Amino acid sequence: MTNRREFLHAAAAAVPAAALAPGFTGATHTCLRPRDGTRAVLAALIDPRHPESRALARYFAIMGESVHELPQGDITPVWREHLLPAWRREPIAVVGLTSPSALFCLEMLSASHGLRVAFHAEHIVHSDGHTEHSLLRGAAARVSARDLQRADSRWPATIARALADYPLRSNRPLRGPSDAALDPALPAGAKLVTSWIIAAA
Amino acid sequence: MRTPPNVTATAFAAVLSAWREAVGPEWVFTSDEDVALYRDAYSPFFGEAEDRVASAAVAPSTLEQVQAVVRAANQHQVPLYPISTGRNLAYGGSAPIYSGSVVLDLKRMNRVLEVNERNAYALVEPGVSYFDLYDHITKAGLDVWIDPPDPGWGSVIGNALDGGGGWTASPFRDHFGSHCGMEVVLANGDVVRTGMGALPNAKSWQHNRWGYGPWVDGLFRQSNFGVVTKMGFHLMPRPEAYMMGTATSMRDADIVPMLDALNLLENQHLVNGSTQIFGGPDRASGNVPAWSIQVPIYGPEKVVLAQMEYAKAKFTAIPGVNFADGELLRTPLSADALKRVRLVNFGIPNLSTFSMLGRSPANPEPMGGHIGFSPIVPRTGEALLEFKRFYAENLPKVTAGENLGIVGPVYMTCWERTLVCLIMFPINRDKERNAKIRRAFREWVHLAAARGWAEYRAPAAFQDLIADTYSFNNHALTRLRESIKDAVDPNGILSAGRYGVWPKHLRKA
Repeated sequence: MTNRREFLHAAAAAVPAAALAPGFTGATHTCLRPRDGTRAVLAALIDPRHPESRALARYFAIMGESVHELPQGDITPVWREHLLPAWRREPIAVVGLTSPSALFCLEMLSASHGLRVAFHAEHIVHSDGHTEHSLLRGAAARVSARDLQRADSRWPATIARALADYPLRSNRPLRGPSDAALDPALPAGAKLVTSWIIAAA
Repeated sequence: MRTPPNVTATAFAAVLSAWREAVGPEWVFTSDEDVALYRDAYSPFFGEAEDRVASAAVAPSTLEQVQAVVRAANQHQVPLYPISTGRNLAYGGSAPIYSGSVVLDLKRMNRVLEVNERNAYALVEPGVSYFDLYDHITKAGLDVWIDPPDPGWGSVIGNALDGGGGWTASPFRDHFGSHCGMEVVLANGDVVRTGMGALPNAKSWQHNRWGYGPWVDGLFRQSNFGVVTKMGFHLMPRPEAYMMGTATSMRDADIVPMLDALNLLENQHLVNGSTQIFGGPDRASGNVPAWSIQVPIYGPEKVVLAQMEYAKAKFTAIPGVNFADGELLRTPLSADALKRVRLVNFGIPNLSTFSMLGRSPANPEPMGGHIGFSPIVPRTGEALLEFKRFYAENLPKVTAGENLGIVGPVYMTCWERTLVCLIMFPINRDKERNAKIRRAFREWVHLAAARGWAEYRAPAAFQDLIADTYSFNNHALTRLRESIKDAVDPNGILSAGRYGVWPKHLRKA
C-alpha cells in the first residue's frame, strides 16, 4: 500500500508543471533546511476540508516535507502525537494553511514551549472564488498581499514558497498574540483560511 | 512597563524584586510581549480601550512560592489575578477582571499528586489540564474516568471553580459538585485545607467532602476569597457499558410530559448520562421532530439494558412520543467505536469542538469567537416553552431587527435538576458589531431577570451586570459576600471584581 508521502508525491507529480509557481523544483528552501543541515520545520499542517490547504500540501510534498492532515480540521491527534512530543524536546517550528481556529489553538498550546506566531496571513475566499489577502504578521516574508493577488488561483503555491523561504533563524523580537482568535467581518458566503508559521520566539 | 492601578512605581519595583527572589527572575514577566499573552481571546471589547489587560505576570511552581508571592502583593497592596491554565474561553480567558492587575499564573503547578483507583479519586494542582490527568491515568493503567468539558485543554481545578460542567455521568459532570477537599492560600499568605484536610495527617481528605463544622469550600467557587493550590475530585470507575436512547415527538406541547418523564428518571438515578434536548422554533416539519431528548445511561450491561427498557416505557406511555434504542457500547471502546462516538461522553478530552468554529462547506454559519448568556430556568416543559417564546419574541427587539448572528436557545442539562437555556453571541474584530452584541447581551440579561431567570456563569465583561440581578432584599447576597471579602482580603488584592465582588476601596458608592 502506498504510504502518505508517496501518495502526496504522486498527486504533486500529476499537477501540470505550468500550474506550479516558479521555484518548486525540489530545491532546498532556507526555512526548511538551513545551511547547517538541521531541520528547522517539523511539518506542514493542512485542513483537508479546504482545497487551498490541500494545494499547499502538494507543494510541501514536492519539497519532501512532512505534511500532517488535521482530520475534519481537528488538531487533537496531530498535536498529541507529533507536536507535543516534539515541543517538549525543543521549540521547533510548524507551518500551515488551516482554519483560523486551528492556528488559535496551536498558538495557545505552543506558547508555553517558547513558540510564537512568526507569520500570519489571512485569505478571504469569496463565494465567486476570488480571494482577498492580508498579511498580518511576518514582515520578513518575501511576499506581499499584492503578490498573492497577482498569483490569482495559484496563491497557495506562492504562500507555500513564502513559508518555505521564511528566515526563521534570524534574531527577531518576541511577539504578543496574533489575531487568530477572532475573525474579521466576513461577507456572506465567504470563508476565511489562514497561512501561518509558529516558531521559536 | 505598565504599573497596576493605585500602586506606585516604587512599590511595584519592590514587589517585583520580592517575586524574582521567590520564584526566580525568569518567572516574572513584565515585557509587553509576554504580558500581552494574558488576554481575553474572545473579548467583546476587542481592540477597544475597555479591553482588560494585565500589567505583569508571575508564575510560581510550589505552594511556598505562592504564599511568598501573595504576601509580597498584600504588603504593597498589588492586585493579583490568579489563573490556572488560562483557557477560560468566553468567560474572560486569562485577562484580569480589574484591568492592570498582575496575573498569578499557576500553570507551573502541574502535578497530579495522587490518583487512587480503589476509592476513585484524584488530587491535583491548578496547572493540571484534563489532558494531563487523562494521560496520567492512562499511563498508570488505572480503571477510572475523568469528566472533561469540551474542549478539554483547560484546568481541572479552574473549570470546577468557575462552575463548569462535563459530559459523562452524574454526579461527575458537575465539576465543582464532584470535588472533595481543597487547599487554599489566603490573602495574608496563610494556607488552609478544607474538609477532612484540616486534620493533620488526614487519611480521608478525598473521601468525605464535608469534614466538621461550617463547610467553606463553596466560598471559593466563582470567587475571589483565596488562591486554590490543590483540589480533590471524585472520579467515576469505568462503567462497563453505555447506551443512548432517543425520545422524540412531533408536537411542541409534548415537551411537558417528556421533561417530567426525564426528571423522574434522572431524580431516581436511572438515567445518569448527559441528556441533550433538541427543539426549536417550528422544528416539526417533514421528518424533523419538534423535540428530541437523548437519554444516555452508563453502568453494568444488564443494568443499562433494564434501565433503558424502563426509560423507554416511561416515554412511550406519553401518546405521540416515540423512542429509539441506541447501540449498546461496551468499554473500553473498540478502535472502530472510538471513531464514531463523541469522545467527551467517554471521558476522553479533545479539541474537536474548535474545528466547528470555522466556516467550511459543511458549516456555512459557524460561531467562531463567542460569548454566551446562559440563564437557569425551572426544569419543566412549561418553562422551556416559555423560554422558547421569550427568545423568539425578543430577538427582533434586542437586535433592532438586524441579523447579528445570535444563536439560541441551546438547552443544557449538565447539572442535575437544572435546565440552562444558552444564547450564543458571536464576537469578531468588528468593533461596531461587537458594540451591538454587548447591547443585545445586556438587554437579554434584563429581560430574563424580569422573569426570574439569571445566569449561572458569566463572561468577565458582564459579571457586575449579572451580579446585580441577584438583588433579593436590597442585594443582601452581595452585601454578605462583601463582608466576607473585607474579612478575608481586607486589602482587596485577590481578583478584584470577580463575579461582582469588589474590595472596599474599589466599590462604587
